[in-house]
Amino acid sequence: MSQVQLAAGLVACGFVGLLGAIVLWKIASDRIDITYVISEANGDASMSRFQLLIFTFVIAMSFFLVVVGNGETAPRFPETIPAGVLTLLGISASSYLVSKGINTSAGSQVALVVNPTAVTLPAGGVQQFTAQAINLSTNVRWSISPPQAGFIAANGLYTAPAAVPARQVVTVTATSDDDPAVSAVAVVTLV
Amino acid sequence: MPAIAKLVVLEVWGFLGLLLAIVAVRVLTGSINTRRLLHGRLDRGRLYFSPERVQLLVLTLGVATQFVLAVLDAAPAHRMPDVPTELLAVVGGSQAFYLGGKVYSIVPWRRTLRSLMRGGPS
Repeated sequence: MSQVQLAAGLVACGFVGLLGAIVLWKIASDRIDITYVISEANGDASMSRFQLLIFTFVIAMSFFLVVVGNGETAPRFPETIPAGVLTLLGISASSYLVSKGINTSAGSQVALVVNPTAVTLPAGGVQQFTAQAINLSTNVRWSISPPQAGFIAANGLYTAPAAVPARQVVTVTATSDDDPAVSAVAVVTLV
Repeated sequence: MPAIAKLVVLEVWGFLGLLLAIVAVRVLTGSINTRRLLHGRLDRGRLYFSPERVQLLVLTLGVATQFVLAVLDAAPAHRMPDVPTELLAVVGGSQAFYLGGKVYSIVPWRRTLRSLMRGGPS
């Protein structure tokens, strides 16, 4: 190996090592967020992503292990990659893609809407709120903010406080029982 | 093995090993979201426990382990082991079962089909 080859190899080795270290540091410090790496858009963990992650990891590490060999001989690529390995990876990736397609066809995006979205009420006034859901059941938990600004029943019936000293804005929130991460709000203006 | 090759090997092992460790720890501690990994959603968004996901998880871990063991045997000769056709068929079947269950759970005609199977009106 010539001096030039050795120098080029060391530079490449340093660059790749630095790049890998930066990526790992960013993942470890959450600058690259992998919290939802195996999750669907609605926050549910995805089995199709999980199995693809496992097979990709296993095959990548296996390939590297094969290249390294027993550590006594120089690293070298295997002469062939067996069709079975490629098929296994193909099945795994195809399943992920089909699963994604099914989700898209089914409109797996979930959404929640509260009706009416804005209302103005006098002191003691009442308003019935309803929740409409897409790809979720309409079982919701109602809450208001600030909590002392009236009362909201489990069926979404809001009652304004008996006295409203000054104009006040109250937020009515419906939170899905199916998925607590999904919520919708309406605004009540007390006059 | 030349010194530079040893350095590359150490570098790649370090990267893959640390990445695997980070992912494994985060999966185990919940920092990587695994909520409802074994649950599916019906067509109106209701959650259900999903046996098709359980079998896919078990089979994936099993096949991955078996493959790693085969690699450990073949790696010293710089040879990638093949995956037996029977095992591929099992993996394919498991994935098909999972995808089939997913389709079945979301399509609107699921309730109609269930009614017909019970002999009642749709």
